[in-house]
This record gives sequence, C-alpha cells and structure tokens, in this order.
Amino acid sequence: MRTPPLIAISSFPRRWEPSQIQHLDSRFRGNDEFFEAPCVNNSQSMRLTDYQTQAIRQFAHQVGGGQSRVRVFGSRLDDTTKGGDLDLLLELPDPVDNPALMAAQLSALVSRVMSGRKVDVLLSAPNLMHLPIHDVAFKEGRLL
Amino acid sequence: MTVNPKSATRLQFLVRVVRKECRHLATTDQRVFGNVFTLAQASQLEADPDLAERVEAFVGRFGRLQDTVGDKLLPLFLATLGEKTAAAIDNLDRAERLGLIRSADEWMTMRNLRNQMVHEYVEDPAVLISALQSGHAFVSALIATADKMIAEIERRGWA
Repeated sequence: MRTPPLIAISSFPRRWEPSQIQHLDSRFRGNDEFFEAPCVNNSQSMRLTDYQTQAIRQFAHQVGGGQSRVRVFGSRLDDTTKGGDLDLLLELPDPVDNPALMAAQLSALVSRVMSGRKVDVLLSAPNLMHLPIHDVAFKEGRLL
Repeated sequence: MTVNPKSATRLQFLVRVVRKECRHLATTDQRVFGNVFTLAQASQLEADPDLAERVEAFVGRFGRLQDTVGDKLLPLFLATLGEKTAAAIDNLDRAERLGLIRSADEWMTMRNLRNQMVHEYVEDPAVLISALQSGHAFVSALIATADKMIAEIERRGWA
C-alpha cells in the first residue's frame, strides 16, 4: 500500500488522494492553493467565507442603508473557477442620488476583505434603469 | 539622506510628468464642468462628438494622473523613504498615515469610479453623470495629493 507523502503537493490533480474523494468531480475535492488537506466541499457553492459574507452585508448596510439587500452573482457562484472577480448586486428600496459613487464605495470596502480582488457592484433602485444584467443578477444571484 | 542616482532620475521624471498631468486635468476639468454638466448632456453624448471627446479626455487624464501618482510616484517615494513597498492598498494606507492622501478608501473609491465613466458601456445616463460628477468633485483632492507629494520630494532635495 502506498504511503502518502509527508509534504503537501501543490499540483492538481494530486499524486495522492484519499480514496473516498477520488471518484468525485475535481471541483468537490477542495483547493490546493494554500496546501489545504483534500476535503469534500459540502457547503453551498459560493466561495466566500463566513467572515467575508458578514462583512459584505455590513458594508452594504453602511453604504446603502439598513433597508438595502445584497446579492452575489457571476463567477463566484461557480465552484469550478478559482478566485476571480466578485459581482454584487446592491438592491435599494429608495431612489439614489449618486449611484456611481455608492457602487464605487461599496466596491472599495468589499475589496479589502477579498484580498484586493476586483469587486463589481451593480445597483438596483427605483430611479435607475433596469438592464438585462439586472435580470441575470436577480435570477442567478444569491441573497447574502 | 542620499538617493541612488537611478531612483533620483526616475523621481525627477515622474515629478515632471505629474506636473504636466495635473495641468492637463485641470484644463479639461474646466472645459467639461465649467458650465454645469447636466443629465441631459450626459444622455446626448452620442449626438455631441465634441462634448464626448472632452469627456473622454477628462476620463483619460483623471485615470492617468491617479495611476501615475498612486501606482508610480507613491511606491517610488515610499521606497526612497526606506519603507518597504507592498500591495497597492498597503501603500495607500501608508500614504494616509503620512498625511499624503485624505483616505485610502476614498482613493480606491475614485479608482473604482473610473469604469462607470465610460459612456460606451454605461447605459444608464444617471450612473454615467453620477460617476463623472463624483470624479469632478475629486479633482481638487487628486491635484492636492500630487502637489503634496511633489512638495515632500522637493523638501528633501530629491527633485
């Protein structure tokens, strides 16, 4: 029987994996980026930590007010891609005076908790146009 | 403190560039926002090529000055001060602590505004005008930051 190597191997697929995960599709086998132990990803597919999720919610309320809601959509919902940008939809119940500034502020704050990754923020408010991208965001987006 | 000649030459070059970029941004800022820039005008950019070009010049010059100051001059200035340069956001945090910029978050906000200033792909005129007017409101802070950094460099006799 083969013994697992003592040091983690950064290549993927791994040279050695526990038998219980070998049959799984690669996207359920965890992530080698930080030499993590192989694991089965049972969580819902949205690669944000609890801390990031809470921080994003808090920033959304800070920037858009307590009634605002935030959804994540786009590539972050797809576990097969690593890293990548974060797409957020900020839903506002009231008209907004300075939408571009609000989106840019939320993006700057959230980027800090996403290790500087690019964060795109789309706004939805009664005084703003409803564009096809809004349909996508509402349809596939997951409320945080 | 003596600076190595290569860094000194580069600092002096960047100071000259930033001075020119400040002047050019101030000119375009005046040409776009001198008279009130309205939502109606933002909606008409397709039909008004002269205004569209002026707006484009504003966006380009705004972005270039911010990049030259934030991504080139600031890291070199910090390195010349003997500080370890790091990721962009860390440099901005340090610049905030040194009093060179008002706020690192504000700086990042203004950076994020830029892609909402492009009229070809921002379809909602309300978003476009909001981005442009926020950029306009930031121009004086941006130029003040550039001036402050140049003054610090000159005070040390590096340029």
